[in-house]
Amino acid sequence: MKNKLRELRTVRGWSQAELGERLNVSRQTINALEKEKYDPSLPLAFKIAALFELRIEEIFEPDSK
Amino acid sequence: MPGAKEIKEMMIDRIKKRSKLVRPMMIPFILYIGALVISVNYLDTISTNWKYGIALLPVVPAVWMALGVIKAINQLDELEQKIMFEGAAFSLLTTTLGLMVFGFLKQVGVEQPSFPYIIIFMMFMWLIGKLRGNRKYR
Repeated sequence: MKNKLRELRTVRGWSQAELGERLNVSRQTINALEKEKYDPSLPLAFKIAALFELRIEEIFEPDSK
Repeated sequence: MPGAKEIKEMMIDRIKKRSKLVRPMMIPFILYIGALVISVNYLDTISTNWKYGIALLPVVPAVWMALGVIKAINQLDELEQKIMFEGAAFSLLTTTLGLMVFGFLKQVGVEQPSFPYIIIFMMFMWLIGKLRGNRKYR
């Protein structure tokens, strides 16, 4: 699954660790999400969407439509 | 290449993660060592029914340690839990396969591994599985 997490994070000037703290996950998890090596669970995806005040589909997008 | 800031964050993250797992197990581990020393050294000197209690004494802190492990796993985030469980699955499969090999070799007279060696092998395979997971999601 593709995502705009890195873009959204850097726009706000947050480090991976800072974003991890805001979402209560480790920096490793943020890194794996940004590199699209790991897809978040639905609760985490909602948490990310709420943090960036966007809808889930505005951040995450399936590999093939 | 990660920058100096990222490397520092990675190290802090690693320390945080390790202490999250290790801290709840420190006291029960020390008690386990103490109970083990008592159990090994004084078991032969007791002839009453207390010997069963003394023999099983290390199990009490071991249960405490097991509860600590469960608590620590519950505190991990979803990816960390996934890596942990992938490691456990890898350990279970490799240990089962290893035991199968020894089971078949028993027919030709190969000596069976003792229980502590199986546990150590299982823990080692869990570690290997965890390292595989860390590499996969890096």
